[in-house]
Amino acid sequence: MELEKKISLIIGALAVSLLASSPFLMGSYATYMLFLLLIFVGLSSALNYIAGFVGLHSLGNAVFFGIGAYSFALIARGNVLYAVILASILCILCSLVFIPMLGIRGIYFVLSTIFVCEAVRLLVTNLRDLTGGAAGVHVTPPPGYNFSQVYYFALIVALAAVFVGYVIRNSRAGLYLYAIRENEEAAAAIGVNTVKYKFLSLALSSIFTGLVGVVYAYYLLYIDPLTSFSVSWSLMPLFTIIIGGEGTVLGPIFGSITLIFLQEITKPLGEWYLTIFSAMLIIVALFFPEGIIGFITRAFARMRKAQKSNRK
Amino acid sequence: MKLTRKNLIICFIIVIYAILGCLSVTVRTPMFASQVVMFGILNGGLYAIVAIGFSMGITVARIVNFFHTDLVIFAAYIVFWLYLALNISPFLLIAISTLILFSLSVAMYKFPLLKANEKAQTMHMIGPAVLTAFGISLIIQNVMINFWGADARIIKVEFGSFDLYGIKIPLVRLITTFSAILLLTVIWLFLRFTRFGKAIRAIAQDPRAAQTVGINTYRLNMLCFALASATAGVAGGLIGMIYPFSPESGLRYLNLSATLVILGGLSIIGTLIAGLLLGVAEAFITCLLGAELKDLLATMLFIIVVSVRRAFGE
Repeated sequence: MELEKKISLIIGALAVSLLASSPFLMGSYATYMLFLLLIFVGLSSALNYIAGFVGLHSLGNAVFFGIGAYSFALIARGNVLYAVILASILCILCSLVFIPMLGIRGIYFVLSTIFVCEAVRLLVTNLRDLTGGAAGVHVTPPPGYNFSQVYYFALIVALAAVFVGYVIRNSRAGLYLYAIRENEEAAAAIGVNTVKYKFLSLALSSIFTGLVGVVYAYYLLYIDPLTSFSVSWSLMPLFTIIIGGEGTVLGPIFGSITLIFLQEITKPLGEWYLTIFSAMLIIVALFFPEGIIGFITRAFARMRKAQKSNRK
Repeated sequence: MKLTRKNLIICFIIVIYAILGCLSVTVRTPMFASQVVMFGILNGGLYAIVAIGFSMGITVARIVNFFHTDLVIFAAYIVFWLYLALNISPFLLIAISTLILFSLSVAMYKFPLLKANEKAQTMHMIGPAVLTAFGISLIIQNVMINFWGADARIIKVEFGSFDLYGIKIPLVRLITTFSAILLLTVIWLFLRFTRFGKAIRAIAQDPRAAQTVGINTYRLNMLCFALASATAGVAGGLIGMIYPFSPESGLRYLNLSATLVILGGLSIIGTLIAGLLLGVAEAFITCLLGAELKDLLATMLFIIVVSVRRAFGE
């Protein structure tokens, strides 16, 4: 066990240093792909707190993404530090709206979170005086703006999201969340405050999704309601979680790598790429229902069993 | 359980109508209000026909069919395309679109859907089911964009309109709503009086008990899902004659039909009544607040009803 931990630490440190040095080493396209990967890692790790650990497949996380983007563009006007604080506060406030829905289960939760996202998008599109309406908002670039700045910001957010996931996974609260996922009534019966812990994971999830929204707005310097409140900002992360393995810390990372990889190899197909890409996603999800991480751990377990029987 | 749900729905409807009634009387004349109500009723029949397919797929066949409304739009495109190519009456072409969707859904049920949904019911692993549903939805949207472009289209049929005591009614809308209600009646009679319908109702109540008395649940579920998708074929053709549609407009109908499923339950009459009421309420909101905000009503209603029902422990 000790050796495995050391190996995984070394691999992690190598990966982080590679990511950190990539703006100097790699070409602009490769760096852009890594940036996209970081955005997906951030989003899906954040979604994993609620979808993976608790089992509530929220597709409303796009709301927090949009709130992050809009708080950067509209209120903070390009000031990143201000935007980070503001987005966190606004996202926590907005996740209060979700509290009555936390009791719903299964597909009805999925549906109602999509509809929250739709409702917020409609409101933002129609409150023209407040939000600029469907035309969107331009941000004047802050002084000293360049891509590597955005890249490092994305790196910090993604690492923080993964780290928080790790902390939750290894804490008492994480155990409570697992208990709620497996059997909510039983968890409540032994004294877990289910609503409190569900809300806690949702609030954490909302903060990091909002921060990724800030990163996105900082990168594009232009936002509009259709793209920033699009359901795909919670749909694609949900895909990555399911592919990578629900409720694991590394699952979102592997899932995001798979997603970006599939996207890249299907791009030469031109306009048919989305069809083939979705078909591949479905096939991966059907034949690896526990995700890549589940598949790997099961393979390791089988190997270990074989070793033990050999020794005997 | 049934009583609380009914009470809740009635409360909501009364509140909505009280607000809308007050507003409409203060803003405009009664003539205007009755015109709005008429349009609402004409819309509501169409909403009900979309919703009934969605509800049959999700509650009886137990398939997470979030792509149902994309199938509706797909059917609208098929009718539109064949109408341009062959120039036959679109009401006949609806039969073709229905057949196409029926066979397509049988194929889809056999490969990805059954495997994706088998664990969703027993083990509550809804992840693969949800992913498959949205994956199919993305595929259908992409296919539509590639074949017919992203522009909004409409099936052009012109029948003129007539006056009913001063209320103007376009004939197309009357015909489409009438055919929708006719189809609903046929489905109702079918479920109520045939052996097949009885078996489907048994599966809806308890699939395992249905299996023990000798019902072939696999085949009936498949047929039920295919029938639900076939109603999407009819609904698509009818909706395409009234509203402009584009590849992305499936989401709007998903809002509507999910709301109707929650309000009306599995019962067809309940869905129809809920559809008519929602249609009328939407028509009022369109007139008073503007067309952009009318989608907000269905979404809000869904969220509130689901949360409140959960809070009452249903």
